[in-house]
Amino acid sequence: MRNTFVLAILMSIRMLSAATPASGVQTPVITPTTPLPTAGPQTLSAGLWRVDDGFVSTIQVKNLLASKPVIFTPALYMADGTEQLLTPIQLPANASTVININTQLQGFPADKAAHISSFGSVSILFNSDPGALIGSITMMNARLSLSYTTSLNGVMSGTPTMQTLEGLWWRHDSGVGGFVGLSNSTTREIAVQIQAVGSQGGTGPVEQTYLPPHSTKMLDLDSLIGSLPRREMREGGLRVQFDGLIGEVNVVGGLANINNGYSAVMPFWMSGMGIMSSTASSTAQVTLAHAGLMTGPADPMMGFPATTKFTPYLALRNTTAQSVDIGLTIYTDNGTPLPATVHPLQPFETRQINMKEVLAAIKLSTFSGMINLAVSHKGQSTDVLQVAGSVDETGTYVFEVPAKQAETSMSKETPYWTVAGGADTMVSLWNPSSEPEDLNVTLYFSAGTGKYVLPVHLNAFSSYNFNISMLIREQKKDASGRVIPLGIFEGSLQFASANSETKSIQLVPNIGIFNVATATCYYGCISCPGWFGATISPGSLSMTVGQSSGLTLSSLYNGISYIVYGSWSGSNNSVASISANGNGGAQVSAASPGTATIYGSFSGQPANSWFCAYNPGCYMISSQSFTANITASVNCNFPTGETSAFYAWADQLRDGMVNSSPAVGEFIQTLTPPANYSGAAIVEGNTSPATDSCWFNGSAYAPVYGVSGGQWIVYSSTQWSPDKIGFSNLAEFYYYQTIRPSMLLPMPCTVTMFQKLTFGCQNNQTRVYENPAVLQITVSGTGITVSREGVTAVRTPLHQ
Amino acid sequence: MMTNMIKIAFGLYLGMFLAVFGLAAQNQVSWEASVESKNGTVKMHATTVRCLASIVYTLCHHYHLKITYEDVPLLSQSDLVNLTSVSASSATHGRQIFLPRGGPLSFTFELNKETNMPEPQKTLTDLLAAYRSARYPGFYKLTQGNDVWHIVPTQTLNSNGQWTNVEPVMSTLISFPARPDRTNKDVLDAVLQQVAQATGMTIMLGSDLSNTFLESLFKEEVTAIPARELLEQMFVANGGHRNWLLLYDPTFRYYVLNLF
Repeated sequence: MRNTFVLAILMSIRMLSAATPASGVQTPVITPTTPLPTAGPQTLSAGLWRVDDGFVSTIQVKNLLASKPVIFTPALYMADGTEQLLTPIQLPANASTVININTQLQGFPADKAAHISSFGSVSILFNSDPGALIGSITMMNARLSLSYTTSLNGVMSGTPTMQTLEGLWWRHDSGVGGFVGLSNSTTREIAVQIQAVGSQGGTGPVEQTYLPPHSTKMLDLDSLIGSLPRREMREGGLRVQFDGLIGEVNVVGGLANINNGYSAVMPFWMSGMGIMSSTASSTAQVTLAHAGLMTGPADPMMGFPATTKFTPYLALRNTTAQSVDIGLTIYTDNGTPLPATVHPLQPFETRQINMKEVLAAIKLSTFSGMINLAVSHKGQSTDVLQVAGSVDETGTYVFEVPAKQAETSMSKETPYWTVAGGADTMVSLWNPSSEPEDLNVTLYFSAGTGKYVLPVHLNAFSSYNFNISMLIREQKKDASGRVIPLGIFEGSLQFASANSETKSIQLVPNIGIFNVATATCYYGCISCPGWFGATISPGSLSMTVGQSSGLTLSSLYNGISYIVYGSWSGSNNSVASISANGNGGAQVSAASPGTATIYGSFSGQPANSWFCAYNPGCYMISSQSFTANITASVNCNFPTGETSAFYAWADQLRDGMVNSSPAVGEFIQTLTPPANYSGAAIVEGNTSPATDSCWFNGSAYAPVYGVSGGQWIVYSSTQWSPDKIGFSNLAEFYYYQTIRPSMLLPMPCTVTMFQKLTFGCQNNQTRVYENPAVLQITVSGTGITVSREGVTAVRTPLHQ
Repeated sequence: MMTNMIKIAFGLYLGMFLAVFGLAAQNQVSWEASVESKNGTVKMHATTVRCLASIVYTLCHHYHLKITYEDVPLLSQSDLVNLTSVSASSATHGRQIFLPRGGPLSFTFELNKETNMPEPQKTLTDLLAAYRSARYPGFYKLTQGNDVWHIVPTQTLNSNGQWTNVEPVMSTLISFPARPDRTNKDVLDAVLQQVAQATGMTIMLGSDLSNTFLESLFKEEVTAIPARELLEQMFVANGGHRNWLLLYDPTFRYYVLNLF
């Protein structure tokens, strides 16, 4: 495991004339107005791959979408920015894949061969939902026992500004050196400033380098920190700044002692990032945790040499100009909290915590097993950089356990696990809350064709650790009767609430992918999916007055549509009134004809691919509002039928008509179905001419040609009246009753009218009633009969 | 004698009645005149005893002409058919039953070649001439209102059989003050009332318009406006012109206002 390790020498560094004071760091603020990601072309980029001196680099990509495949195109960029697009890959739903960069470089076209370099960067290009793919790059050197990992990141939209990445380096031993890879994921040249910060806050000169489009540069750590005071060169920081957007420059740092095979990843966090919710403040308590630090003799089941003994390590860097109080609590597997004392971090101080002393102070010197570290401070989560892990006494076996914010999130994902080639994946889960958590750990198989669900119950502050190889060996069936087939070696992981992947959990996970034989170990990136889009169902409403309809708001999470708890409003409550139904949906009531726009919104974390790098927390931006709207058209509640009832004779109503109209019957109609049609107008006409057998040749009364053409307003919800049927002038009745017999004309005689009703609506819609009414007036020798739609009233005798 | 006279009278009038109003004929008579049109020439043929009114109605119905018509009062026995003797005694309640003396009337007119419509003035003038030629009761003249043609009575035989001038009842001047809640039905009632007061002639409504007229208001003051003009104003304000036939009933000696 020992060999020479040659860092690529950076070329374009030049010294700036004056060092920038550390207190002058600009901190980007990502406001809640950051545009929401949209579906369409997406690019994720990773800062570094290496194939020098035995390094093998691989890209791991996972399709988070459970509902559809995603086709992506990997693009390899050489150090000078030369691009080579690889064959597009279709990833089925939930599938993951691994691309070997060394292999791909062997197939490079001849015209680009001269550009092949030993390091570079990579992008994956795809067209799908935001956050559909997550990925990482691992750089493994089995011969040197070195391993590094970095994640695929997107470029966050927003206004270009000065971005600052704060890094942390520490020397595990005096032989540790390091490198910093800077890559440009854009098509424009970017100037990058880098400055070393010593353990006590002393600074080196600001050095500037220019990154041509898609180019990558490797910087030597010793060169970068060489001008620091010697007393500050055991640990410290690096500050990288550029003008642009987050993700346009990717920074990857690694530490290595090639003599003993020690390697670790230098974290680079966005300054001023972390808690960005409305509750964030400089006084907020932030806890960053490290789950599953091996302590004491190695677990015999893991295959380490018998004498292997692990000791936790912890390094902290205060990136602020204020002293920061640090709270350190160590939790054992069963959740027992063991507070430890750590002196406050002075401004810009970097410190390696002597964990042997800490463990001794809390009487864990002889402890053997897993512990969890919770490191708290006030401020933003990236104010204090921290690294932790476990390292054996030889420095060969390094289990890095990156910091994760103890926070509430939805599911968490990691793109890769493997048990191939002697490797194994250790999963550590710590519950940082005082409430128990019931989780489902879902192991997806790489082809996306299967999964295995492991239920995990975590008591308050307790943890659980398992190796995937053990799960496979056990062949224990999950709740659905599934096992992990023995032929499955790779896949991806999801940690979610047992209730749903969108339910809140508090979980600090860690994924350690290790190979005892090669003494390599790297951690898995943890990503947090989010919401994409908002949709109101149904997508439009066409209602009639009086109707109500339920609405739900949904959003996509990992490609699956979930109903979310919405807030609702409308543009015109007089047309369509909206009320929350208590379950997150809405009830829309059609009040009057017209159109209204109905808005549904909810607040949540947007989907993107930003969670693995630059920030220990799940979310780099605050919850954002997702809004959808639909149009509700409210139409009249046109009746489909009506029933008539005789009400009274007009003279009995004393309605002021001439002669009180004793020969006029008044009918009252009830519209069906029983819905609110109040206020609507009904206009009568004729479907066909009336027939009048009362008229005779010579009559002074012309034949009845039809109804007179009345108009009514519906009252009392569904009733309209009066429809007056008969002879308004009693003389007319009497005329026929008298003259026809006098002329020996037959009696009774009848006038039949065919009434057409047109139902109106407040929005000027009309509909003709489909069942025209037949109205009849029958004059007999003794009285009158009026009828409407078969409902008859007889009045006899009726004489003047 | 009386009996004979009665029989004679009965025979005379029964013969006329059966000729004109026979039961079989009743079933075949149509209120509307028949219409034959060929090469722009239209022939209308009315079969009712109110042949002039029938043709006016048909002109309105077919060609949407705007016409009002007022009967002459039928006062002379020679303009009437008395059906009293042939009528069912129990039904008459002692009242004599009369019908106008009328009969078939044929009338031909030309359509305007461009509009394919009748020329109202010429057509109606010719109609009145044809009616007069048939020697049916009364004389009429044509007057023009605002976009409306009025056929109004000018002379009729009085009860003594002498020609006498007729003052059309619809020429009665109507007045009433402004009233914000006056409905069109109120206007109609006022017209009928003031006509009755001025002429002693009752006008019955022959059409049930209560559903329509109760909804609309006529708030303005009216001062000495002829009844027909007032009605025209009211109808136009209420949604459009209405034609009418003011038909005289000789049995009850009142007019019936048939709106359509």
